[in-house]
Amino acid sequence: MPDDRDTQERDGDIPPAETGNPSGLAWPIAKFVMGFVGGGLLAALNVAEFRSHELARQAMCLVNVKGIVTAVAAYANESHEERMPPDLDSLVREEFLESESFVCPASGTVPVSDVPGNPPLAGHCDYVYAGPLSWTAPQGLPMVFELPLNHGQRMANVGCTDGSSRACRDSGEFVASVQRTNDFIRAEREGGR
Amino acid sequence: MSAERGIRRWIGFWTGVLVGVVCIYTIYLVRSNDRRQAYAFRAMRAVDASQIQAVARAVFQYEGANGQRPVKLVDLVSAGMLDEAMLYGRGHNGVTGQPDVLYVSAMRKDDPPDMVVLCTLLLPRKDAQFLVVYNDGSFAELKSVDLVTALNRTYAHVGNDILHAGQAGPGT
Repeated sequence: MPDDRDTQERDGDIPPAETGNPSGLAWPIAKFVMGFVGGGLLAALNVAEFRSHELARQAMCLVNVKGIVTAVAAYANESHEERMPPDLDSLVREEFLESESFVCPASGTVPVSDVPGNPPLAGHCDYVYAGPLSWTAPQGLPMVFELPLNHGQRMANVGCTDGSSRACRDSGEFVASVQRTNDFIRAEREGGR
Repeated sequence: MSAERGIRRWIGFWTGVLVGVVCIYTIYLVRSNDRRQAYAFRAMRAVDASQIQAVARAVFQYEGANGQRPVKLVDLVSAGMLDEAMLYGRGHNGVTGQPDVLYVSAMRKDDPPDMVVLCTLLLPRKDAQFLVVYNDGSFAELKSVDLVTALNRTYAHVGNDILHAGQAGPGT
C-alpha cells in the first residue's frame, strides 16, 4: 500500500518546504501550462477556421463578380453588336452563366436554381448591374457591385468596365465610385437627348 | 474517492485549458475591433429617413425651378435649396466629401415611377433597412435583396434607353 505522504507529494499538495523537494510545485504548474497551451491551441484553431470560412466566402464572391464581368464582355463579343446585355437575366437565358453565380455565398440568398418554376433573377440576385454601359466608359468604373451588407459592411466586391474586379474595403470610396458610375450614365443619357 | 482524487489531480490542467481558451478569444475579439478583416457587422454612417426625404424634396424643387434635376447633390446646396448637413449622416467629420446618399442623376421625371432616384448603400445599425426614394417621390425602406432588384430595374431602364437612343457601343 503506497504511503499517503508519497501520494500527496505526487499530487503536488505538499509545499516544497515540507517535503524538502524544491520542485514540489513544478508538476501542478506543468499541468496548468499544458492545459493553457492545449486550450489556447484549440481556441486558435476555432478562430482560424471561422476566419478562413469568411475569407473563402469573400473570395468566392469576388470570383462571382469577375465571372459576371467576363460574361458581360463575352455576351457583347458574341453577336450582340458589341453591346452589353440589357440585364443580368440575359446572361442566364443565353447560358453565359449559371444562376448560382448571382448569389454571394455570404448573403444567404437562395439561388433561382433552387426555386421551382424557374423564375427570373429578381429577388434571387445579390449583384447590381449598372448597365448596359457604353464601351466608352472610363477604365475602372464600377459596372457590377454588391451591397457591403453581404460581408458585414466590412467590404464589397466590385467589377469594373475594364474587366477587373476588386474588393473595396473603404465605404466612402465604395459609395463615391458607384456615384461616379451614376454620373457617367447621366452624361451618356444627356448626350442622347 | 479515486474519482475525486483524479479531479483534484487534474484541476490545474483544466484551469489552464479554461484560461487558455479565454485568453485566445479575448485577444481575438480585442484585435478584431481594429482590423478591417473582422467579421462582425460594422455600423456605417448613413443618412436617416428625414434627411433623404429632405434631399428628395430639394431635388424635385430644383427640377421645378430649372427644368432638369441637378447633376450632383451638392448643386442643391449651392442653389440654396438644401442644408448641407442633410447630405451627411450623423458622425460626419465636417470635411465635405461624398454625400452619404446615392443619387441616380440620370433619372428623369417622365421615367417610370418605380425607378430609384435616391438610396442609401450602407446601414447605420444591423436592424435598419435601406432607404429609397422613387421617381414619383415616394419613400420606402427595403431589405437588401429588394434594393438590389430595384437598382437593377433602374439601371436596366436607363441603360436600355441609352442603347435605344443609339448612344452606346463602339460603333456609334
